[in-house]
Amino acid sequence: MTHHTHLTRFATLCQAAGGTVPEPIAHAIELVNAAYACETRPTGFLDLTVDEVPAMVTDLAVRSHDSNFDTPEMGKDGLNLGVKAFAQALNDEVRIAALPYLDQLVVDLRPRFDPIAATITEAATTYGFTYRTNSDDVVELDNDDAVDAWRSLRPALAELMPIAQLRISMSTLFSVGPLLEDMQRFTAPFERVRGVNYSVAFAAGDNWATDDAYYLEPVNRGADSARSIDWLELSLRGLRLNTPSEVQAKIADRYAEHLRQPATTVSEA
Amino acid sequence: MTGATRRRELSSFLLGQQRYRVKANAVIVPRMGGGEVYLYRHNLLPADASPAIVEMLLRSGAIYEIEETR
Repeated sequence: MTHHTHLTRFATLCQAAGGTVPEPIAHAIELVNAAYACETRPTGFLDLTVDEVPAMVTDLAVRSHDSNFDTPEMGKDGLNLGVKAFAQALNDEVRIAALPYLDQLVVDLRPRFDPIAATITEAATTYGFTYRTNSDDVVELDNDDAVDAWRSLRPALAELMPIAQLRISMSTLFSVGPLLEDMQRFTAPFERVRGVNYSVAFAAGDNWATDDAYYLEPVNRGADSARSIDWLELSLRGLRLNTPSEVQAKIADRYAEHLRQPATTVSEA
Repeated sequence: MTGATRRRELSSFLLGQQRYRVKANAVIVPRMGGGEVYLYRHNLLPADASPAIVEMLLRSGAIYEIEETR
């Protein structure tokens, strides 16, 4: 008897021959199977209670100490390895668990977003205000309503920023559209995508872009600020706070359209 | 319009007042409206300073936030 697999084989032979597997052997097989089951990494971290966390961290720390002694963090960090493993595993789980809530979160924010959007849209469509309009121009208009609209524009934009920033961080944290990959789909091969244009998350209709349009500055990787968006230009054809699912649908629709367009041939270019 | 070649600046009224002051000896700040501005210590950042750079400078401690003034 050298290996536990021989036990399993012996048990199978016993059954095939019509004999009864001796009790110690059956029990040993059970035990060894239970031992090997310990190797599987635990899951379901999000279901844990706070009291269960320390035991899990110890467990994960032990698992993280493998035979690879060259790793610099090996041995000296103790339970910290388990803490890191726990946090990482939890991050992955929380992302998947939170996804269904994101759409609802956006829908719940709409009652706050819509009146702000209406103020901005009115200023842009009725009076033609842009980000390059200055207060002198408004005074020159000699129209009290225009002055009021201009005045209410600033608090409206200030109130809009936290909502817009939240919607943008949904995309950056939980990898829901619009993403850099979505932008890449509309650019020519080998053309570099510099960043995500978030206009699609706030466009009522087809007024969104994957290049630098609807932005005050060129779109940049890592620059995910709602302040860079040209809200007045975007509002000319309607503002709407779009859920991740709606954004995905918009991108898919335009991509289907994009594929239908004939490719530019060398002779045309 | 000051000239055919020059674009008008972005409205500082809409973008909000300057909220950051330079702490480092000098910083170079790109502006959303185009171009960049060189600022020495104690100067205020323009309202149209590029948000990504503002965030980076803030993290590195080269600028600091001040109370918004009207």
